[in-house]
Amino acid sequence: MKLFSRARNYLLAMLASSLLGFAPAQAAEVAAEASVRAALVFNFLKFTEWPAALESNPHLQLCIASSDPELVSAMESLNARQVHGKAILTMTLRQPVDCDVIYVDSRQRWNNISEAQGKAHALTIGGYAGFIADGGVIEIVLQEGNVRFDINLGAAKRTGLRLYPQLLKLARRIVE
Amino acid sequence: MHKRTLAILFTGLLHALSTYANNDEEVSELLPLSLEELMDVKVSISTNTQKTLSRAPAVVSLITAEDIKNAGATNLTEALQGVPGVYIRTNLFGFRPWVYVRGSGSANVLLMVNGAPIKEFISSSGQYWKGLPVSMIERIEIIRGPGSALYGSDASSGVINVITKTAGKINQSEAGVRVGSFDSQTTWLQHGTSWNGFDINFTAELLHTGGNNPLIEKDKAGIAGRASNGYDNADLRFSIAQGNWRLLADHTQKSNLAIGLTGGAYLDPLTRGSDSQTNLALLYKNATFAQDWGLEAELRYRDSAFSSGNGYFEQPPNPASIPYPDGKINQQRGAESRLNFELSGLYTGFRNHAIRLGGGYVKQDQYQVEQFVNYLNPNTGATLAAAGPLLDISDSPYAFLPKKARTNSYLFLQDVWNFAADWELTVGGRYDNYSDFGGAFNPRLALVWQTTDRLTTKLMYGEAFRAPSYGELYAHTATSIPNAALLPESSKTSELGFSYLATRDLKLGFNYYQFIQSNIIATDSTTTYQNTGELTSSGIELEALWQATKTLRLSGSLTDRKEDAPNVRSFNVPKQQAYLRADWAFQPKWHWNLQANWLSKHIYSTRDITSQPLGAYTLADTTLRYVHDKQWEFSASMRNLFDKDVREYVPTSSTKLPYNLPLPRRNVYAEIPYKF
Repeated sequence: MKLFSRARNYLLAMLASSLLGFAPAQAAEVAAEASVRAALVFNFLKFTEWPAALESNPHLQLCIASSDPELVSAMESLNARQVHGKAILTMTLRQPVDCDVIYVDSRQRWNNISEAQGKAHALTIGGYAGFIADGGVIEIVLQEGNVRFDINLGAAKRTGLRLYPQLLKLARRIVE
Repeated sequence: MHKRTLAILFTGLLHALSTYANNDEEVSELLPLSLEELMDVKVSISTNTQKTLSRAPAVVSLITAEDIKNAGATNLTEALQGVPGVYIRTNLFGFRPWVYVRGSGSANVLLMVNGAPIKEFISSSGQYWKGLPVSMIERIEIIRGPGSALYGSDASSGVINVITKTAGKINQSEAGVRVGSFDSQTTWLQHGTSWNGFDINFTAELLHTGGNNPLIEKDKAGIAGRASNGYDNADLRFSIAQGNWRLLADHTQKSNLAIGLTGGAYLDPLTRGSDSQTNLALLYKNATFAQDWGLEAELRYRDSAFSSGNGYFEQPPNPASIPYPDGKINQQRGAESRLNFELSGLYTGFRNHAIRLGGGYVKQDQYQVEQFVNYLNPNTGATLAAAGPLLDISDSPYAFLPKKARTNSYLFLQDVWNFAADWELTVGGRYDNYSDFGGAFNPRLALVWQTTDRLTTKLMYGEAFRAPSYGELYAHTATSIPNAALLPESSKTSELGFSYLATRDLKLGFNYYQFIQSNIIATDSTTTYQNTGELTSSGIELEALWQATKTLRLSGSLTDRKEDAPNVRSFNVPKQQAYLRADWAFQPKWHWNLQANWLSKHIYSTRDITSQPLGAYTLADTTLRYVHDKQWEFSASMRNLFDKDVREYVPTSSTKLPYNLPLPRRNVYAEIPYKF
């Protein structure tokens, strides 16, 4: 009983210190995984150049192939933001569309994406392990609580994309 | 005071709720960051982090380095305690923490480090297994259920793969110290860098612990005393990687290891054992080796050795029955090597199929056996009438082991077929051929159905086996007689699992399994190893993970198991377990963890006699962690928070240890890691 009350006091002390030590919001050093992934995708778009043939297109079509509602919602918050002077247009991958960017979170969904949906022409970004081995361009990996990414340069070249050196420099691993 | 307490609690809750920003806001805050800055942002634990795991063709859990730090675990076995159905059972000899999964012992659990089994010829996980230090662990992957179709022997009730921090994974340095109860001190150093296109990584951890040295009220000789169980451990790992190649080299060594009690339940003040493992692995992995082909190759070599130092104190002197003034002394030394080569390919040329095929070869060689005793005649094996000097019985038939080698070659094939939009079928099998007992084929079947966006359903079947250990085949010990005609143990597991994302912050899991083991190896009435009967166990596992607020995560699990044969070895492992864990980032730089593990009472088999039944108990631990900045952090933990006197049951305890084996009382640790 004595131990219990000691533990309770400890708990209360911690609660109290949590309140007393309350400080104004600090710089976000921790963020939800989905939000970080979305911000990372946005950065990838900044450092990618699409083939000139697509220049006239007024939008960047970002297709989201995920069954994670939190991730979909985070990606959708990129909607209408500008990259390379183009507005991002997000959509979930239900009907065949011509995507410029595809974010996919499982091998199952990757296999189900048809060529018509732009698999061969888009910047493909995967959130599952083994994505670049499956022919994807950028694979996002979580490592010790931080995001990292691997790049399949061969896949990028086949797609006709140019990835800026800034991006290549920060990749954890590059395969040809 | 109480009103104020309530007010504090309530405000705290509101504060937590209000900080629950929606994605839109948070993404907007993150977008101005540069790519480098973004890569420094810590990803908070999300309900969906392990989403891909929920679709794996097995019941899988993952423990990250972050989880380990937050829960204050200092050893692998502590980190595993939160996994549903995992039970850490302290062994009599040397207080070795065996890992049980779904009620089945460590012999049926395949434990690997970076994909290489750590099991040795004569013992499940090394002669003086003490778990593994955590500072070098990047993550732990746990499969509950069978894995022999991919990994071969021992993967019957579970597979645990510890992934260490290797080249290319950390690009900074860290140094840390930890001090705590039982005269324990740990220091570690890690360094990761790139050099001329090579990624290089080095981790080192040194540990000294004086041991909790529990008081044994009465050992088998009726003597009371402290069982010393301190030891020193060094864990050194080096890795270098370039392109598709990776070289891992590590050396672990325990020394000054006091075993406390012998397998025969006598207090042993004499033994200062040591053991070591040295591993070398050359790994090649090329995901785009050829059109539609990925290729992986592994060449691994391991050398393990142990020494009992001054020897095991097998029995104290007793003028009436043991006429040896120094007691019975048994010195042992042994060494073995393990060589493994494996080649596998992943073919993705057929639409919707991923086919993995491969094969390998293992040679395990017990090349050193040395034994000196003061109680046997090396020529006849007869017990000496009176004490003599230590006699060399190494090359006699009475040594604890003969020198022997075993080879094993294997082939495996697995197809993951995505046959419809939301369906995935995994079909696979592995054939193993052993030089001593012959062959074993183990198939695997798993159907994973993404039933809805929120629900994943899995139906799985797998067979597994365990090759008889070297000890069971050839080693005479104080408590067992070997049998060279043993067949492998085999098992069949059927599983039905659901993983359900109830809301975006609440994830639920449910698994049902039936695990049928046959040809179980156990000693008979003459203490000879035999393939005995069957055991059918079935159980359920319930798991929940609730991100209650952005800063508070609650998780827990509940498991229950039934078994039909009361005399089989693991019967006395607690049948019900409950685990609760709270992780609360109550301030931006602070993290508080509280966890509790409840275990139901031990049920004895009809062969066991005990005067001290062991009831159910709860063990609680708490950890407070403060991350000052990118460099400094501090954490403090208290384990066995309520200082419970908890004991591990020792089979036939009334004839061995009538009061069973005491586990550590309340203990505290504090650590400071520094990154630079």
